[in-house]
Amino acid sequence: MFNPSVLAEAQALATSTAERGIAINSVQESFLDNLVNLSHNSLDTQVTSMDEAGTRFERSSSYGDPELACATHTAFTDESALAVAEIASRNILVARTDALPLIGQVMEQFEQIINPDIPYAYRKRSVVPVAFHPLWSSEYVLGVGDTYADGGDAGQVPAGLILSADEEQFTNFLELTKTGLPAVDAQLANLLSGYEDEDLRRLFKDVFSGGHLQVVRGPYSLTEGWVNDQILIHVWARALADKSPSKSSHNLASYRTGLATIVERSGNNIWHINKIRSNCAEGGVIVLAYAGDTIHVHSDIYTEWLKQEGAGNCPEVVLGASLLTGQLRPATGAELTASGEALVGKWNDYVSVSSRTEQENLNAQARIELFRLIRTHVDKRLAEGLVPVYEDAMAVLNDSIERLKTNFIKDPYEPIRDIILDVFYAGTEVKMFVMAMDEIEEDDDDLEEEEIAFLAVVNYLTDWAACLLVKKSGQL
Amino acid sequence: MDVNKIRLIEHNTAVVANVLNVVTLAIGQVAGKQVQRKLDEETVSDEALTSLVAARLKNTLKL
Repeated sequence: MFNPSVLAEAQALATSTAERGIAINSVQESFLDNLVNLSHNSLDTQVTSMDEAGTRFERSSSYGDPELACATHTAFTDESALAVAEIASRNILVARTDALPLIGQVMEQFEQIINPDIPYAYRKRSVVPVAFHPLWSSEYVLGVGDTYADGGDAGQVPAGLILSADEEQFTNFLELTKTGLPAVDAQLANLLSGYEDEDLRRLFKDVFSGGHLQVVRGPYSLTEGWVNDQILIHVWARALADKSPSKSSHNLASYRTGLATIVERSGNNIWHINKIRSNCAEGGVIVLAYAGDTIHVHSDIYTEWLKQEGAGNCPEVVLGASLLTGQLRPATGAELTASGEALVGKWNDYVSVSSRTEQENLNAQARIELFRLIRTHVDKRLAEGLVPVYEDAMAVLNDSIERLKTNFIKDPYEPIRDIILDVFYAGTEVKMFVMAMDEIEEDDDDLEEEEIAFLAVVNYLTDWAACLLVKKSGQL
Repeated sequence: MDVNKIRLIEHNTAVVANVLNVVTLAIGQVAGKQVQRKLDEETVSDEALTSLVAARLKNTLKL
């Protein structure tokens, strides 16, 4: 017996296909073929209405007794539905309790090993502007520089001038960073505000306890932080000369000599920095230092250079220049502009080649890791008796890895899912059900898991039944 | 009336009706209580389920 909704849907679909001359046949000798034969009788030639033709078969019987025919058909339908449901239930159970957790586990393991977001080497290379605080143009700082122009020979800075026990009383930095000149002190306060307290403490400790004070070794010393540190160190050392710590590794005379060395060295550093600044301004020198992946540039001159209209000046010119070696690297704006086009080309080539190589390396690594990962599961499941034939599983695995798309790591879920289903669930319909679940979830990610499972059952069983049908043009 | 077309409709109806019948019954068996609950809540009626299966069949076979 057919319920009215089944008949209505069937008739609508049958009519629309028949209108286009399409015959829908069941695969011969399938259980569906048997069912159709049980329900269908040759057409009574007296019937001429299409509506009647659509429902005609329900009443007909080629078994003589219509009631017996109907009972036979119903029994066979129920039997078939039960058999289909049992097979489907087994596949669905395996899919939900074994396949899906396994896929999730392998995905998690894979993502822990392979990160598709490659930290491309070229991204690490950057142009870092060194901005000089307005203090660098002040008479105070220029004066300090002139005073200590010859201070490069000052001796080593001694360690232990101020010990940790005494640090607290000297590290009120706002108080300590004063010259007695209101305009300069206001600028110093502004400079201080750009520092974290923690960084100020570290700097203080490095110099006054650790005795570490680098000297300028050339333009490449000039990072923004280091440059400004020199002013603070100089001001602090001068301020500390009027104070005496209760605990020190030095007597008072030695303490004051040590501070004088710091004053002189930092003053000489300031002189060097002023000199480099002035040379840069006169010669249009943009690049202060090519330091590995960081290119330190003079902020003001670099900004002006970028603004030059029609010159084609851009950061890629500087980045391209950083790929040259030693003396070939240009430093001035004029040199950079002159070779601008070639340098941009060099940079673009580098980006293209290096990123392609890194991507290829990652793709190759991902294949190896995925193979290794799934093989581990094959071994484990073999020991548990869940892999019937090791060689078969490995053959499928090898073949699947071979057929992976080059860039599969961009969206690895489906390829990994398919490999697992092919390797571990070959010869079952587990894959059909898992794919049906994924398809539904993809279409509507607001659905609850139970709803997804229900709709997956609908799709899975319908797709399975569709495999028993053959579409032909105008033929019965 | 084109007898061949009538015959074709009758044939197609028989095949499709049997497919819909078996599939909806099997879904009922598989989903069991879940389907029943949904039927009780009238979120999935008998008609709706048949219609869902028919639409999927039409789409899969490009009918």
